Amino acid sequence: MENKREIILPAAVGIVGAVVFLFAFPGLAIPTIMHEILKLPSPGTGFGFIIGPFIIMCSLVAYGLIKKHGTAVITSTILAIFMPLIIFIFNLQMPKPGKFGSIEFIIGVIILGAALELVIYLLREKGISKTIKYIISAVVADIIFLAYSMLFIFSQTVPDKYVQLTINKILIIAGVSAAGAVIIGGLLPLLILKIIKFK
Amino acid sequence: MCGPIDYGAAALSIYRLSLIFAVAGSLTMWKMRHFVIQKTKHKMSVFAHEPSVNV
Repeated sequence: MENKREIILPAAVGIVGAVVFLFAFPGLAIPTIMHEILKLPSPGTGFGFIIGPFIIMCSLVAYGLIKKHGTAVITSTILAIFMPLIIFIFNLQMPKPGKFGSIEFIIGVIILGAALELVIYLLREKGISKTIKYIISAVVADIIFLAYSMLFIFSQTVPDKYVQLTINKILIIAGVSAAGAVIIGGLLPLLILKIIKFK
Repeated sequence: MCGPIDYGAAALSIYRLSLIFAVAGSLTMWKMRHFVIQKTKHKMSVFAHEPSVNV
């Protein structure tokens, strides 16, 4: 019974996360908000500031509920599988440069979950507080996801923008991504867990 | 810019995000209602037993 819960709960969190994400960011909302409204450099800011931290948030909420190693990978994998499935079923329009639902995207999300899991495992010592543990694992996993998306997704979809990347632009994208990872990926799951466990 | 832009989608996204936060906030308040009521009752009982001040 306990094993079933360890699979069903992360799967449910992954599915709900995919539905909420696609509901909250329809069509070309992410590139428009990131590059037109906030005037942040491209490519990769949407991946680093919104998509990566959101997936991390779902994975850490599931991990916080079950507290078993492997939960973050299961959650991110389920989310990576269900997101393209929902896009395909409802024929949703998504930003082309991000290759949503492609094999590269799914692999990226699984790598993100694996990186998150690895950092959580490495920081399992009792001395580190939960907040610091969540923040460090979120930032590291998000930066790895950002680097992967730059190298394997945006270098193919927007090669002209990829070539124009300068050190300054990379630092801004990485900084914005780290801020997103701290707030959305590290602190928000702690708040959600606190509310869920509140009695 | 990375790809085409759509201000309608951005506005819809902001609207839906505020909707999600509003629902989440309401659910949180509902879950914490006993705690809030208990705190308020405690506060009121403290005021009720407060000695009157002679001016």
